[in-house]
Amino acid sequence: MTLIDAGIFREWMVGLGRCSAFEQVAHLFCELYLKLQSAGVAGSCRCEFPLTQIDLAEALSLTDVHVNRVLKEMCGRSLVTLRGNMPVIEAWDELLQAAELTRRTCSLGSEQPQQRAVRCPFAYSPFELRQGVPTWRATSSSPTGSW
Amino acid sequence: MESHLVFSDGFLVAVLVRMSDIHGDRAGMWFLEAGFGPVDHPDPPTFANLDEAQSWVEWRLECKR
Repeated sequence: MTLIDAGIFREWMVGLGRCSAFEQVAHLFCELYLKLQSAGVAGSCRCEFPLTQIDLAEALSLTDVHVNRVLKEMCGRSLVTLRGNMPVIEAWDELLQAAELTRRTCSLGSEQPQQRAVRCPFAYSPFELRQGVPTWRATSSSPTGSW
Repeated sequence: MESHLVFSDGFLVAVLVRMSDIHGDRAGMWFLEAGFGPVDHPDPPTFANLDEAQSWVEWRLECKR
């Protein structure tokens, strides 16, 4: 395990235990986007994201009802828009601030995402990268579909 | 947001919240926002109406006695 792996692992533990639902979802969006961007399969603050609200809820130990509320709030504040399976981050800096990602590890600085080249493995997140698409690890038991 | 506190023998055991229009086809249903003691559940259910919710809460309290 590298220091980066350990940092990501710690962030997930802290997030599940101490962060609000809004912060957790914001963090997940930012983290996944950066990982996908570093893998060369995302850009312009948008990425393919074929996960349901139920998937997000299970990953973050929230209810799907509350995930829905959070997403609606994010859309209402114009932080994110949802276009089918593609969330578009409309306000990167604000979402990053909500996620409190700037103080975190993983070599994630505060510069714009397209300027960043980081190594962010999927090893300790509930998602893995399959053919450039984030996929819920427990696909056999977890329903997938559109937002 | 319409909601109800559910008491049993004077103790708060659940908070039920009516789902608003943002929840699409589930709008109007009741959601177990929080359950306490035997009513706590890792996958909180939704109910078509309050009678259904009350029956479920009673069942949880009964089977955990």
